[in-house]
Amino acid sequence: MTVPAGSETLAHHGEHMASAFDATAQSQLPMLVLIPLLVGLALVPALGLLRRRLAYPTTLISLLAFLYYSLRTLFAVMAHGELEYSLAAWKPPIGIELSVDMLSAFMVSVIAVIAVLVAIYASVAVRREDPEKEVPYFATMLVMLLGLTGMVLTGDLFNLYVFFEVSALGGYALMAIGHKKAPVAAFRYLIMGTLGASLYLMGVGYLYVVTGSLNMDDVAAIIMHQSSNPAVQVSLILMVIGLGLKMALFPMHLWLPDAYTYASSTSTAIIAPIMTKVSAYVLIRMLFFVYDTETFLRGTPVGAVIMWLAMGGVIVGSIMAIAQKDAKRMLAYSSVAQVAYIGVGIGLGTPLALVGAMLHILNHAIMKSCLFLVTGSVALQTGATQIKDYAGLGRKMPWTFLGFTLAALGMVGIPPTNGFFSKWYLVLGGIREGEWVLVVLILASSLLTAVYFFRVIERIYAKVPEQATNDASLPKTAEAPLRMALPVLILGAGVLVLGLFNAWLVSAVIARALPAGMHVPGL
Amino acid sequence: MKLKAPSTRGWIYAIVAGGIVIALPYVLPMGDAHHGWWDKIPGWWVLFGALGCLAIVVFAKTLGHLFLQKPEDWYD
Amino acid sequence: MTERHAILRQRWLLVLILALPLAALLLSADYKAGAEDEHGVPPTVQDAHHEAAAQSAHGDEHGARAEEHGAHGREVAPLLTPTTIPSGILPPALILVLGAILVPFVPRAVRSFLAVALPALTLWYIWTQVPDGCLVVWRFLNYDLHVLRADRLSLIFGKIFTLVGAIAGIYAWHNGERRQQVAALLYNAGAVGVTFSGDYFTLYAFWELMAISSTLLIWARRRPESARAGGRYILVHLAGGAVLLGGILLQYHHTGSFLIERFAPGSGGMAAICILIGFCLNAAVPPLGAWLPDAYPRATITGAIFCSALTTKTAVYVLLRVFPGWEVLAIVGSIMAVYGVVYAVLANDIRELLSYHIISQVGYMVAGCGIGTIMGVNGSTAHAVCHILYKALLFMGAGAVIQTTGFEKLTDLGGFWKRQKWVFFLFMVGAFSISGVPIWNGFTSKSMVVAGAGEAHMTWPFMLLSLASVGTFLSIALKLAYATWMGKDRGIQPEKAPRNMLIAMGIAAFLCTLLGLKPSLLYRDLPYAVHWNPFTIPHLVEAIQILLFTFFTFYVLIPKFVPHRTISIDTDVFYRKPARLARKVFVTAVGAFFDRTDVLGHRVADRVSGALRDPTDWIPGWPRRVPSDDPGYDEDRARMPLALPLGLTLLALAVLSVLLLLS
Repeated sequence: MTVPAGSETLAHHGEHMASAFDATAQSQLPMLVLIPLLVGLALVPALGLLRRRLAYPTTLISLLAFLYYSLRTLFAVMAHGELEYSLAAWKPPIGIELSVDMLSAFMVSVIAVIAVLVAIYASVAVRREDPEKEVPYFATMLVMLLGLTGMVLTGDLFNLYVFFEVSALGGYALMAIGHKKAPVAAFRYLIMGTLGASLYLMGVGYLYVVTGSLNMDDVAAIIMHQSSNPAVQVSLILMVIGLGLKMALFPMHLWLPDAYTYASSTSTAIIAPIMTKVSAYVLIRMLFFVYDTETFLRGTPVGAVIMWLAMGGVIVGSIMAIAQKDAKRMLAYSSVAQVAYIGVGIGLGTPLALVGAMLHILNHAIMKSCLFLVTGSVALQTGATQIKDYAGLGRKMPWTFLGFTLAALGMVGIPPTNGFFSKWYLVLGGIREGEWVLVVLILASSLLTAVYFFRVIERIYAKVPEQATNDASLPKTAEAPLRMALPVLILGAGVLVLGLFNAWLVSAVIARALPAGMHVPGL
Repeated sequence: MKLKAPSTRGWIYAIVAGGIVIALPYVLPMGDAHHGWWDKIPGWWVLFGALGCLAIVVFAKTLGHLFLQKPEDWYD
Repeated sequence: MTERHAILRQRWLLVLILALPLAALLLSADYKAGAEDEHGVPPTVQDAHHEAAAQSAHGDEHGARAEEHGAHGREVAPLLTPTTIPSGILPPALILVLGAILVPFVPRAVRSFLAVALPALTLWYIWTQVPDGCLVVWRFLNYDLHVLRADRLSLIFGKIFTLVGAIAGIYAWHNGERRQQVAALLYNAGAVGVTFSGDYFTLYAFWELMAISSTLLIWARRRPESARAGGRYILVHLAGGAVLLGGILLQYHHTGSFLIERFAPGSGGMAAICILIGFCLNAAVPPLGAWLPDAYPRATITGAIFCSALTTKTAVYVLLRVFPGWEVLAIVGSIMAVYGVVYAVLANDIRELLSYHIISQVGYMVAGCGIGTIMGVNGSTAHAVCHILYKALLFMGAGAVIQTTGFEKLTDLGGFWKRQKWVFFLFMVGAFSISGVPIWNGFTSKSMVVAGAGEAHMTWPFMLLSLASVGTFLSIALKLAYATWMGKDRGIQPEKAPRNMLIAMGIAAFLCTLLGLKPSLLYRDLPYAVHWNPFTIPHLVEAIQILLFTFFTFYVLIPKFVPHRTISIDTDVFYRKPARLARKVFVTAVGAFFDRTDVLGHRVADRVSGALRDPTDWIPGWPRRVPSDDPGYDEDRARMPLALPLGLTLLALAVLSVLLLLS
């Protein structure tokens, strides 16, 4: 790679390198997180061709290994600080490195936990919904997870794009497995997603032109003093829009409802909680760790634009959710609104707001996966997809709907569920900055959320169930089988537990995930 | 308001009871009552009970007929 | 003989009104007219304050060096400053929460037992294990949460909440439905939690717990109108909770502290106003209170008891804690008292009538809080305690009627008191209590608030509250009782009321009578020392005069009291009628707008792509191809064109670029 004219000399490069890289620990853990996924990815189709039923256990084992290493990484980062691993021992900024700080470790753990639970659920659900597609399902799921994890762990901008596309590939394929309209939805997502990734890539390209490097820490050090360089500004714009599109930030969210509704429930259950959140993670990574926050996020209209667009997304998402008759579509629009909360936190940019945004990444992942798993269970057990058909199901499927109710309470934001606390931090951040519109909006949106969730809760508990259909394809007993109900309950319990232990979570993990120089007041 | 005459016994009961009650303040030791302009009006609480009841009923019924009362299925 | 004469045949009614006050005088021998005894234990307030306050409580003169003055020169009751004893005991609310979690897993008979035993246990716990002045602090994040702060005010409220929980548990013994039992216990837990909370965070958490669990009690009725009413209820309460949360956060922003502190009248700015609105919504202050008569009549029979006792009185408690002496409350409370009574005269559904009475009686409590003097706060508290007891009794009676006859509306009821004597008599005890008939506890508590208004020289509240008393007697003891059980006999044959219901009603009736005859049992636990005696001759004479002549007027006006099949519109018309319109505007129209832009975008894309398909079409004179088959508008292809999101993305890109590059 030639050093482009106009950028720093190599000597300066070396200085930046030294200062940026000496504080971190070298470790193999980041790679160890990826390896189970790679291995599983190779084994699942191979073994699956031999015997279809081997696909799930292989997936589960690799995911459990993945979970184990993710948690180990998390604890290692908590103990020792940032971890790094240079691929093939080529040192950055030439080589690609995996760089795991608290934020990455946190994200990876979230992904791993949700993946394991959904895989357990999927073992029953996929066999019931679409038995022939069992092997491709687990294989593409692993592809997607590999891509997402790589995005989170990598410290290199272009490497991130590679993993971005890997995850997208897996995502599109996963989404296409399903319903009759699923391939159409997947195709549209493909177009939109490619646009988003391309915009990101163009942004990376501009950054490379300016800095001559693709390593995140390196680039950050170089462009810190280049805020007036139009190339840097353009790259910022391209990245924000591209990532915003993948994140379903209003008004670029229109691909999401169809994608989530027409994909099969098990696909949505793994895609919905994680895909948009990882894109949000990348946005956080860019805006807070690569681009200097003061200069770029707060010093330009970018932060304000993101915040206002996100607030629009909160309102539009909530209102559209109220209008929906299909349960999954309602949840899809609800996702738009919830991811917009994260956008609000990012746009506001203060430490409190960022804590709220990061906490909401975790919280929403837990709640949304629980909710989508429930809609899947209901569809498989009773065939009901429209909200009006959910009448009286509270009695037939008590455990499933217990999980649903807990997740719904979390979405509305009732203490002591976890959803309350992420909104709490966002509102506190808003008050501190004097953004009263934000405060009112978040409080009002809780009410809107309550409208569409309590409508469902009222149906399931207050109405008398309709007469049972005589559909022979439906199972006889009402409640979902253990492997489907248990993940729902675990996630529902997680809503409460994470809320109650929110204090530890914030102080031990999230507050330490903030970029250097940002401190939450009082912690 | 049609007053259907109750039986003689009924009238006697009513008058006697009413009379006793009206006379009570003048018979029993009232001691230190509230200060207020109303203490100067004789039979104030008697009137308050009777006229107050009447006032409430009239007020309520008027408002009801004007706009408050609606058929049972008005919201549906 | 007409039906009106039938009333006169119940001579016992007249005997009650005349003779009982005299009997009361004789029986309550410790209360000679004008006795100056001090009732009960003085509070732990500095003595100097106590003396000054005691003097003005007699209404003789008002000290010049008083603490805070309302506009009438009245002195707001002093702060109850307990010596804080740090303690590690378990907050009583958690006993109920833990019990509620346990309940679904035990068999039915044990559940009913637990539904009574748990509140009773908590009552015992509060009575014996929570000393006055106790403070329990838990650390959460970097906040110190005062999860338990006990003083005389919270102790008495805590006791009555758990007591009514136990009584209602007895009433609901026959109802084994898990969901209702858990909801009732959680509701009770929320109320106790709010009562003992010392900081706003804890308060808010328990506040929302109460809102959600009470909604479950409404939905548990499983009727379409209950489902809708419950939906409105939870939304209204969440809205109030949001305003409250906003106020709490503002308060935190201004002062940096979450501790619950009193606001001096008029101070506190926006934070105080938001918190006040949040509290007033739960207290059902008009115009925010229309949810109460909308939801309570549609709750379950057993659940309504809890509802009637808990939400509004918890709100009264926090008002007393935070906003005593705010004159706006005195005014609003007095209006509220009459407002409730007016609607009650028009109401047709038994429990709706009783619900409006809740509004009316809570008006007394709110007014007492607004008056803010020692007598006002004491009166408000005493009235809350007594009201919980007799309101529960009334709702229990109404519930018994509904359960045994199947009818809820006055237009359907009448004439069967002889066939349901026990329920009728016990209900009448409640009715006389609420009306302030001497011997029962309404007389000993309501008159304290009214006297407080009088002594603080607040004329309008004094008059309005007295007027509301007239109306209360009129609409419950007279109108409701008459229309439900007496009057024209429609041949209703009620079933036998379950024994547990009668037992519960009996206990409540007993307590009403006990506190009416020996009010020192109640006065002893009030926040401030009571220097007031209800059984003075002037009070009794007043009461008799008002009651008897109200009765006479009612008797004359009986023909006007024929119930009609109507509903009364309340302030919720502002969000119920427009709801459909709002739904059209905000939901359907938005959806339609998106659909139309979809179609438009598709048409544009179609035309552009069609035009570009074969540019030779543009050249005039070029030989044209045979047009291919037009598949027409295929729903699956055309549902949402990619042109739209792509276009929006590019638009966003352009806007952001402009903003950034030109800044």
